[in-house]
Amino acid sequence: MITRRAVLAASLVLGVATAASGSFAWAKGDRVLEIVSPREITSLDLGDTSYHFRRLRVAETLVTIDPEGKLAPELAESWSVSDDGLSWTFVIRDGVKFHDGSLLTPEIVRVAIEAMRKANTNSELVSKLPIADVRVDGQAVVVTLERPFNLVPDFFTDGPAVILAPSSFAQDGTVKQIIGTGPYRIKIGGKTSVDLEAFPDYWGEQPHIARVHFTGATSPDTIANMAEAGQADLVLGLSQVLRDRVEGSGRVRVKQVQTARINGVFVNAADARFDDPVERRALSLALDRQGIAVALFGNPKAAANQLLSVAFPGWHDASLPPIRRNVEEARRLLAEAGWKPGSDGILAKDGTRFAFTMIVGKQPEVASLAEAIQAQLAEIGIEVKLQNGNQGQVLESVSKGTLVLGMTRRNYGAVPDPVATLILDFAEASAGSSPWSGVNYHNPKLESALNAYIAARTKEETAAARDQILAVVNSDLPVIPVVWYDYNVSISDRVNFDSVPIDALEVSFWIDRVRWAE
Amino acid sequence: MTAPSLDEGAVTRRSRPPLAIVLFGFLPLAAMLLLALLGPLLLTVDPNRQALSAASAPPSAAYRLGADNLGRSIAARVIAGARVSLGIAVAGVIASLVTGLALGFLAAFHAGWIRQVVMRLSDVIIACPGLLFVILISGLLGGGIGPILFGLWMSQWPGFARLTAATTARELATDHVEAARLLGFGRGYIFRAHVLPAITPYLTSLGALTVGANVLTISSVGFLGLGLRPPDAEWGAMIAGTMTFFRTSPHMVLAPAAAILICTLSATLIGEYYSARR
Amino acid sequence: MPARRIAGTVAGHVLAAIGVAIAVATLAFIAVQAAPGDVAFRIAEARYGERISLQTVDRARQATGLDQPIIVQYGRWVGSAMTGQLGRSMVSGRQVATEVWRSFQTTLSIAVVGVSLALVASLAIGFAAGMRRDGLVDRIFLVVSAVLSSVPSFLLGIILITIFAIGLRWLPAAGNNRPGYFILPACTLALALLPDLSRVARNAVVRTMQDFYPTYGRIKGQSWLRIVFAHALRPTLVPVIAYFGPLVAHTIGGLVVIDVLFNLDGLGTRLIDSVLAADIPMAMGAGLLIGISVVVVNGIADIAVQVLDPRLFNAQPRP
Repeated sequence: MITRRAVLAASLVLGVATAASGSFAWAKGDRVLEIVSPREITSLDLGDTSYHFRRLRVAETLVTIDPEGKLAPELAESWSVSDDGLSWTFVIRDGVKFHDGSLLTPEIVRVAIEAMRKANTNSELVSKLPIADVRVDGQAVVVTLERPFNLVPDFFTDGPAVILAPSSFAQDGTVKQIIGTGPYRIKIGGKTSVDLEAFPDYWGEQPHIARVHFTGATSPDTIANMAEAGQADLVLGLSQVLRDRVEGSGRVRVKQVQTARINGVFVNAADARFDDPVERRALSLALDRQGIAVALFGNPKAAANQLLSVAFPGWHDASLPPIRRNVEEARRLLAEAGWKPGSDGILAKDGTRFAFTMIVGKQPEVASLAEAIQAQLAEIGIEVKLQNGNQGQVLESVSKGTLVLGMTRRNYGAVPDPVATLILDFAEASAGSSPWSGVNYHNPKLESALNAYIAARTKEETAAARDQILAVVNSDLPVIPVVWYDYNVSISDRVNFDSVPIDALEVSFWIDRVRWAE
Repeated sequence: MTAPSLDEGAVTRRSRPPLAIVLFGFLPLAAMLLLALLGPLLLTVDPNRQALSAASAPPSAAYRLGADNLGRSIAARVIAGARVSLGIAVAGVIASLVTGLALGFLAAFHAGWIRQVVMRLSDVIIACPGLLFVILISGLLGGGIGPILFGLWMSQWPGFARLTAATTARELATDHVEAARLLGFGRGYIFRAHVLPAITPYLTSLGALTVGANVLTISSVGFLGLGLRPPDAEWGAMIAGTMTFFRTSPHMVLAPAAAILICTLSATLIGEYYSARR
Repeated sequence: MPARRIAGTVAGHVLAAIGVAIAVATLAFIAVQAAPGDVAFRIAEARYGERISLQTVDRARQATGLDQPIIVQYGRWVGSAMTGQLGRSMVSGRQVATEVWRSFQTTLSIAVVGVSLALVASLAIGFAAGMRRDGLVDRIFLVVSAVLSSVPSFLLGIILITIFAIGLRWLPAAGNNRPGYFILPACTLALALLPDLSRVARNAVVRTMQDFYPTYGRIKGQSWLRIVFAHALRPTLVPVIAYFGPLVAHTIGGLVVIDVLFNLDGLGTRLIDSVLAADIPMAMGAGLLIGISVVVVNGIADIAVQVLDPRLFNAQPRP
């Protein structure tokens, strides 16, 4: 009898006590910078993790990109190239300490570069460099190439090119922990939650805020709730549709920049439905970009009329007119290409129906975009069936050859020069393994222009190659741009609004520069 | 479920349901079912027709319940969604009910290995979280009506089977059924003449409660983004797709939420009424 | 001897726990394998997200031993599980045991608080409503509980978040790094469990009140409070605790939705994510722990019922 009553009383007390302690600690608020991003840290594999830990300022690369989008020295104090364009010398910064107290040496950098060369995956750019040899020369590391390649420093800004302490790796070469050189070191790390603290021996300027907590949350609603509840000081990558709602709460302000990322569709150029550029152009004309940009992304400027956004000042052509929806013209182009409406209203040619399945991710804005594309293509007689799935399933259908059309969210700004990504997607050697800008699409003109660009020795050669690349990509449409992706950072009133840098290439969160509000 | 009810006598068996149950239970559910059956006839607008210029429009003369984020008529989608949400919920119950009746009756009639297999299998499935089943199957098979229906059926037939087995066992123990068996009447007759009448109120109760629970389950799967394939209108998916705008344009969420509430509430009231009566 | 009987019951439940745990883990394995499509693509997707490429798929395939025959993969897992080794996740590369344990703690704290709240509230409501059957309180309760049971739990959660996290800023809106993080998820769970649980309690009270002892107490002129605590609570608790079986199933299922809303990596979410990601060791580890939890809760409920109501000792276990 007593125990029963005790249990009852205890559970009551427990409930009340936890409620009380929770609200107390919450109100007290100790000064940890709470940052939230829509990406979880899913694995410890460098191909995935390095991007996160560079953004969190834990790990650093030889060369970095400053918030203005320019190359900047990081672990390499300076770099230079020989006159023949074949040997690149990176002078390693002296006195840099890893978080475990060990010193960064040129030899560690050499070993790291050797490991990057072997990685050989498309998400790791350094493996694509034509490196012949890497050697240490005093305080410098010299990278010798087989042929001239202009983008070596750009490639070394890539996420997986972070330099970690030798103690980060297990016997078999896999990463077991992240021990970097950045201004923050990891206290506790997990998939959705990482605790950071300032690293007292950092080679550069100490961060203004010593303690940071990172949350990875995949649900955009949850992120918005956290921002509105004052639980997130910075949301780095707030979904565009949530911007109004979060700002409407009155306690949060949002900074926005257009990124190098495009939301669009890519096609299988070997499929009878999309083998002709005219068909791709018809599809492009059927899309109501302005409507989508306003209704789904809340920003008329998001409507894309070319592949590369304003994040690439040298590449974006501001004089191009917007692509307006033109259903009649789209129908006419398809009719010219031989597509005639069948009895069910769906276009057909030589027994092939213009119908296919498109795999859709479960994020609300992606799903809505897919539904909009489906409805708009239906009006020109193209039937799209939607199936729930993810990018892995899209890639699987690519490898099986069954993909007709897929949605893409390609980032052309993984490094500052878009050609790095374009080479992955379009150059002959790697075509097929990187499908996100089109499958089975080959154009010798584009390939030679890309090769000319990376071997160019003069400004004129570079400019000519660039114009050629842009002309082909924007007319051939292996990937059909729909909307540019806006990067939003919501900033709580606890944080000094002006101190938060915003980075169109999404290289870093630059949290070491953030200051508390006065 | 087999515990003797002390409520008998409080409500006589043949009494008509009270006005409250008719008003808030049978009428709304019947209206919703009618909506599901006649849906296409009532629709003046295609529920999938988009007008991006009208996106998120509040209720007006053109859009009685407003428009969603793609500029589709919410009224049309709620009506079209009745067929999907309620249709799957009811179909799931019918499939489970038929399976449960057959297996439960067999299990009670044939003590032995059939009984053992059916009962043990039911035990295991009942101990498993049904929602997890539906979520997993939908997730693995890429969503759609089939996987959800299969998941509901998988997790729900044991409830009906157990109820049938218990009632059948009780009926079989009565003198008049014993007599019928001795007189040589077969399984089919005993099932029709004795078991079915005895079990109907229980099944009605469990069935109605399950319809309500199913509407909620389907909406939860929709909320997780694993439910039906877009653009099919389904209430849970409608909420999930527009939840983002809950505080800025609540009309998008409220209409499908109200539909879910009406269906579940009326089904629950009916179920509770019959469960109190037995 | 009750002690010996309870020991026997415990032994039976331990055996059942092992059986069910292995069965659930095996089911998780089958679910991963039965899904259409190539397992390596699902793993690579979970690992690399948008950076997935054909090479990373190959890398995932080699790194995780997927090139081995299925039966070998299963046998290897069972073998190492026997020695207490659950292996490493195919996606994160982290120890399954550590990760699953962390999820278990999250789920447990929310479940314990949520179920306790629901239990206390249900008993209070059950007595308030059931002591005067068909009275005003009883009628109001029936309506409120029917309405509450008709609202999807994610909407309940959103309403709670809107009021207590965004409006009042008393509690965190999501995550599990703040003190008191489990309160809103636990309250959401409690609200979701309340209708069914309080109906069980209310019906039990109605039944108990028709028994001899409360009537006797009333004749003796005892106060309501005394009747409740001296006579009615114990027989009322029996059906309520017997209901814990379905309750734990509801809890695990309901927590999946709550996890997503509050960005928690609970056990159910972990199971679903890992099955969808084809992360076989993680799926089997999560399945193992869920199986054990279900059996343990059922076992505790079973023993509690026997202790509370010794009459049931010799009777058949309740169906």
